[in-house]
Amino acid sequence: MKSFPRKLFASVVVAAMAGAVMANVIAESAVKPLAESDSRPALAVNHAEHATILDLAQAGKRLVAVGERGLVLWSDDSGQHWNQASVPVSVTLTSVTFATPQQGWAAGHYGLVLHTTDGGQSWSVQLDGSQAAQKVLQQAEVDITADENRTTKRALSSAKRLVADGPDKPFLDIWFANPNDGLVVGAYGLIFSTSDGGQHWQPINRQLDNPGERHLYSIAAANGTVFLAGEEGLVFRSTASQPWQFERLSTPYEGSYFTLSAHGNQLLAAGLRGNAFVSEDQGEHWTELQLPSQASIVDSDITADGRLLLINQAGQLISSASNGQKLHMLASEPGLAPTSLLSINRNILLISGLQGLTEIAITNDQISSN
Amino acid sequence: MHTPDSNLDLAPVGLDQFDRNSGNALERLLFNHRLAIIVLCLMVTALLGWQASHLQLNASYEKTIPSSHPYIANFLEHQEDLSGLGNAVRIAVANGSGSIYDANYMETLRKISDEIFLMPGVDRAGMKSLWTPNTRWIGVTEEGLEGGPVIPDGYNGSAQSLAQLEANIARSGEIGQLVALDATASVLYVPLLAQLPDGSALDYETLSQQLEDIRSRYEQGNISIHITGFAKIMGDLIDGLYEVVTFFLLSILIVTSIVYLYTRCFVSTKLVVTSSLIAVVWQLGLISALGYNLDPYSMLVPFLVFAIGMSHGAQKMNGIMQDIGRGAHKYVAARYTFRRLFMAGLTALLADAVGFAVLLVIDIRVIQELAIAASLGVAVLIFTNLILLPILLSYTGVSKKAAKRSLCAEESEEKALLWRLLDNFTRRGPAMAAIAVAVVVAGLGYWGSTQLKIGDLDPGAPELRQDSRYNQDVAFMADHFGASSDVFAIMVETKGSAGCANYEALRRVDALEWQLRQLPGVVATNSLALMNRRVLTGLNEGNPKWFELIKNQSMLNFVTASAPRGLYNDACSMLTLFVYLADHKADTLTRIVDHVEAFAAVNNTHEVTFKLAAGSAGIEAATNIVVKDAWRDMLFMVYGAVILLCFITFRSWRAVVVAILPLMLTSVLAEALMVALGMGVKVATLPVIALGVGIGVDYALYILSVTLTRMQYGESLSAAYQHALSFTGKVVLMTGMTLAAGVSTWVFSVIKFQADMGVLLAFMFLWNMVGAMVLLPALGHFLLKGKYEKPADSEAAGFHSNPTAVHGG
Repeated sequence: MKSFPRKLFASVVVAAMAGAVMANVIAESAVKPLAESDSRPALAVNHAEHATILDLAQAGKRLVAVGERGLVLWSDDSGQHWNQASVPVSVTLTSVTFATPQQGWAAGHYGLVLHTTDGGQSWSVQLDGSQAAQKVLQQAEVDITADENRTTKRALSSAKRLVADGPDKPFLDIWFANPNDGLVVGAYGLIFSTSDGGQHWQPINRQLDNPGERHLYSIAAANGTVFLAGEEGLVFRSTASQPWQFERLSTPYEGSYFTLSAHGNQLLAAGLRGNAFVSEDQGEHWTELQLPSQASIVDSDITADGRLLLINQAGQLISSASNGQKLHMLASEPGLAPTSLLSINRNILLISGLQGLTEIAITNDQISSN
Repeated sequence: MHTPDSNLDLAPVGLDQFDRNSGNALERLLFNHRLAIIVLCLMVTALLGWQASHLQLNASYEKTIPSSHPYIANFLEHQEDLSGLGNAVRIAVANGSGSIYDANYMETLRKISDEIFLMPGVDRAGMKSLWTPNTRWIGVTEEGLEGGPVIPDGYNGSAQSLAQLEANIARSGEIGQLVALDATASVLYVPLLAQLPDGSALDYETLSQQLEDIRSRYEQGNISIHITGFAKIMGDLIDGLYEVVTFFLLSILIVTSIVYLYTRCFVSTKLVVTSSLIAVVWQLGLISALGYNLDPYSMLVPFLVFAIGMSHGAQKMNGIMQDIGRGAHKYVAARYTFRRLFMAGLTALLADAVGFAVLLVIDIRVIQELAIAASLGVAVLIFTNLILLPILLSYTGVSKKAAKRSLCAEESEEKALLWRLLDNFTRRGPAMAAIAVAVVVAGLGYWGSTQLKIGDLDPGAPELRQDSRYNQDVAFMADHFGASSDVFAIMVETKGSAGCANYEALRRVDALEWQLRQLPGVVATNSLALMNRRVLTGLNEGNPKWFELIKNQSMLNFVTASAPRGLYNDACSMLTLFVYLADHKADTLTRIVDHVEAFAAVNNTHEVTFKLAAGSAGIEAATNIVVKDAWRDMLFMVYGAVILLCFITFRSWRAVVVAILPLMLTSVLAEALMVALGMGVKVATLPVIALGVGIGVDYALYILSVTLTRMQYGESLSAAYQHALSFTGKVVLMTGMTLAAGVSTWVFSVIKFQADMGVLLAFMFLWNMVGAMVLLPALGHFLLKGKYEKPADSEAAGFHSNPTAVHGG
């Protein structure tokens, strides 16, 4: 069970800037009065190796990583060198996805959705928390005019509260099926859809049976079906798209699912305290996975050849053999504090964490030997 | 040397031929009431000796910081609120043979933890170790949080309970805090009370001894113990002070040997030592009477006073010896010597005193107290070594053999050879060569000195040596716990209803923190803003996607209420932003200071005010600023004072140039030496330059005054210089050596800045001596030749108050 973790950034980031220039840029940041973080461009960082990175994505061959305070990094050489993207906000970004090598979206706190058309090098704001809250309120007002009942009344008062609270709620995952159709989910049951590449976002909360307004943590899709997962054992499966319809699935666990992965008919839901369940029939029936620790699982993946990959907060990277549920540990790096994983190829995994990025190389014979 | 045509030397006479009413009023007053003077001095010595016995050793940190600098004023104003900087000791107990998950290790740790817990001065509620019940693990469950002490129930040292301990520690968040990153050591965090329960102040010396006792008892086998913290630094400094007292004895021994080898007269050497020690007693008694303590800086003054006293005393002795050797009665010899040398000695001592007094302008109390102590000490020497000593010598005289020897030695071949060699520098060729060499050396020195850095440059506690046990322990902590000992704290004053939890305050702290983390030299930061991010993550079942400072005041209030103290004060009116640095080099500190100042300038509001600076690094930053300003100011002032003094003495700008240029060369070379030795300009090196210049000018005063007098009386530069050398050359050589020897023992001090001061001062004393003997004649060749080589009626054209030129009769 050997693996070869390699802390990235040895040759470090922000290749475009020399150290001295860098220091000036940072010095300049001090002389401007501080704007709110959702309208303040992300600071050029000097020490990305100490930054919290929360999600990873591939844009064609390019790797893109997002994290705290508007930090977006991209690499064209499989993570050897990283460049910092130009981002108009300094808000923690929780999720990133690409529909094409050029078209990508990132979601984050303060109800923000960002968009890139150049493969992640520069970003612009598509949706912010205030707009999002207004849209929820408008929708609730439309709904209550159409049919005034307990549900719509409650939705309206909740929407008013959302507007009053201001943009303090995060989006936690974003997903696009193609350059047009996408979904973004977040705290307190927030969910928005778009069918024009994010130019317009519509709240679709009422399509979800989520009266407790529980957080939605993850989106996964396979074979045209979209799945959502969140707190209190919530898992939803789409029954129609444009307009979206979802049904709630029953799962064996009442706690939070932080991550959801889908491939073919396979579905993997995992989260708090090492609870992980796999379904071979799109979520109808579930089997519990026996994990080596009770550490919460923060991310998962099902590879093209059907291997399950899970990573937990204890830094344990757990995998199954192809199409099997027998698990084994690929790596255990307690110092890693992982947040997300990405299979760059069969042999190399990119792990993001509270302290930057790490690559873990896995040799083929290890996998076949298991 | 005694040329028959010289009318400068007093004719040696017997007691019966001597006119007791000759000499000036002061001389008559002193020498015609010898017994009264001696009795008076004895009484003063007894009184001040009694005073001196009350003197206490003290290593006060507050005195080494520039207390009126605005940063320090901010720090002092908020000192009570800065509990996060707390006065705590960290004790790492390491298991050399493996991990901490070892029954023997845990048992030793338990014993140490129990002992420390019971130690007086320990804030027991705040103390943390793996064995204290406040070290807990926390886990997130579906129902909420669960937790317990990391030591499992029913712990018995079995493999099973050790495994449970390891699991508990893994979820306690203590890895990197209480437990080393590689699990080979764990820490006891021991906060200290400012006052013991009985109201007395915490005694660092006792505490440090108790810690050392624990270290010596438990550090065996594989267990090693590493202790860091302010209290330990203080304890080690005080230990160092006691050690320096023994160095003083060594210095006395060395300096006495030099003087004895020079004079070969046991009786008079004893007298010179005695009068110099009396000066030290008076000096110590006076500073005690003025209410000062002996600190690591003022502790060095007795060394200087003793060494200066010895060199002046030896000079008196030399004069008396020569007179006795020529046949004068001891009383007459003493009076003649007093007559000849009192003014020269007084001028030299006043120059020293002025050099020291200049240090008073530096706004750092230890330096001011050093200045006062040194000025007093030198003033005291006027009485003990310029007055009391000749009077005592007038009773005892010197041994006849030594007196004869002094004359012989003076005219001996080898001595004359050195003087002749030096005399070469009065001639054009060698003079040009010497000056050319000096110019090249000065150029190189200046080039080197441009690299001079402000502040302390080595890692660890700057007070102690880099290889000291303490700094090794600091390095251990840095390696195993990622702990930086260089903390820069920024105080953020907050007003308004939400106080320190105010979003407007927190978002500014959050942004500044992130900016600072991008600066080179910043290792990590901590603040309530960062705590908010972490707690929000925790409140959301530990999901890292919640790592944000959200704009939700009630959430911020909630988080703040449960955040650990130290990040904000009890009244919630001040936040502290901690910046942990890789080092405390001036460049690093300046970067932080400049950035925060710029940030504060545009982001301070009525409700949020960023204030510098606290923490060891913050205070060092303020000290650096003061020291940097003081460095140039002090150089200007000390040179100004010395130039003025030289001008008053010589009444000639040319002579002033001849006297000052060699000093300047030494100053430049001293700076280059600092660069070469990796020393920065800091509190300890500031006084050295002033002392070096102030004392260094003595040589020029002696040599030049005799040379000028002789030239005035018609001698050539060469002859006059020869004359000066045979008259004072030996004394100058001896002064250089005694002073250098006196301070060189500091080099062995465990207190780093004392060692640094020792090296620099010894260098300056010796180099000033060389400069005076080589460059002075060389410069004289160009500046004094022709100007002063004229007939004896030159009083009006040159100078009239040459102190050495006490005319006979």
